[in-house]
Amino acid sequence: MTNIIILILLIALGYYAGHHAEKKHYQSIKKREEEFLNLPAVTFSEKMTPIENVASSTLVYGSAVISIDYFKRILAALRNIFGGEVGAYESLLDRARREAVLRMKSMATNANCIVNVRIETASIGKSANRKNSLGSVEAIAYGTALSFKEA
Amino acid sequence: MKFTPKRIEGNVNVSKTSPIKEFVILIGGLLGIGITLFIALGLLVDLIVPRISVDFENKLGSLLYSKFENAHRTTESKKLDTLFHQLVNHLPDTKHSFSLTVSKKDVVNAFALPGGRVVMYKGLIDKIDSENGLSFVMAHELGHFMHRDHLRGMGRALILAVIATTIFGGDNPLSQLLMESLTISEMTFSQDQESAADLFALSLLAKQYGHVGGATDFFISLKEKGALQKFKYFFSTHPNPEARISAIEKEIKEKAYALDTVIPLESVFVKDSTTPSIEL
Repeated sequence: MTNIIILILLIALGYYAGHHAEKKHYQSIKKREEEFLNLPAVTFSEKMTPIENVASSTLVYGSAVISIDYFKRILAALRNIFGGEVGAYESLLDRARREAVLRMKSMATNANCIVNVRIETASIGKSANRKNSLGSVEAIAYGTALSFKEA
Repeated sequence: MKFTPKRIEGNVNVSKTSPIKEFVILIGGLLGIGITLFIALGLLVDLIVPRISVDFENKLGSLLYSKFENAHRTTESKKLDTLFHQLVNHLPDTKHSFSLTVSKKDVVNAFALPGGRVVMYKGLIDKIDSENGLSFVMAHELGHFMHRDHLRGMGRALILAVIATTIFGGDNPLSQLLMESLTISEMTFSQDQESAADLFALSLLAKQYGHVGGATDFFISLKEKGALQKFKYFFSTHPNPEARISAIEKEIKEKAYALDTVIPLESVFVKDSTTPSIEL
């Protein structure tokens, strides 16, 4: 009985804390995305850019680690039984990716654009995730920041 | 090529479903399946138990016993063993390989494990003053084997264990996990099963001693010592001792069993030299 109460409390705590954190994070993501709207990050290669126009190029990267909360963990475990879209993880990965891109953009000070952008995902604490501990996801975004010569 | 900054509205990567709603649907589905299985398994128990062969029961028993052996420090007593096997000799032919284990724990209980193993706790033996009374308790447990109550008592978990043992074999971790979940103390027999085992014990006692004196000793000693409160849990799975005494006495009258003097326990259980640490 005590175990069930603790489980329910953990799920409720996970839901409220996780929901609050997610809401705050999305607000902050949207605000910063607005600020960086004029710094394009594209996936095509720097070879597409005429070399004589480029003043400097630097590697820029950003990474973000987001942890799963208890509620999402249970929800995903239930999904594992029945199959289907794991909605619980979608927002987690979305936040991690967008945060990583934003951090990469913050690193690219004075750049005009970032080319050859790649986003990768890794899970952290996989071995610790076996029983009762929580796992996290890391997204890393990297690219080449270019600044152009003044025309 | 000119770059035109453009805001992207909405989010294509995150589904719009409400997590709470998803949670409720999934939990509900899981519970529904669980409840259906639980009911179905309950119905299956009575169907399957008569069809389990003794060989298969022995296989299950060896699994369960390995678990039990780890949980309790058990000991054997030669004298008790002799008494036990005298009773077993009166049983009709079965493939069971009966054995007796005495647990040092100070618990007033005894039970039957699949495969023919009877477990008696020291606490129960301490409560009994006569050899006849002790034989009655052993015979009662043997009665559960004869009626296969011990398999029924394990209930639903038994079905899962049978399926797992059949499919994966006995030494598979999954079978072992399922056997782990069979908690011995949670084995429950119905009051009818208990009464039937009592009557069986009575007939066995008559075969062994030629009379049924001492059959009710154990229940009377519990009553006299006012130990009822203390052993409440024991009676929660068993009919109350007074009802059992009167049922036994009624049977004695009906079958016209003889009543004679009992053999006191002290003369039978002098200190066992092979196991000096145990005092019975």
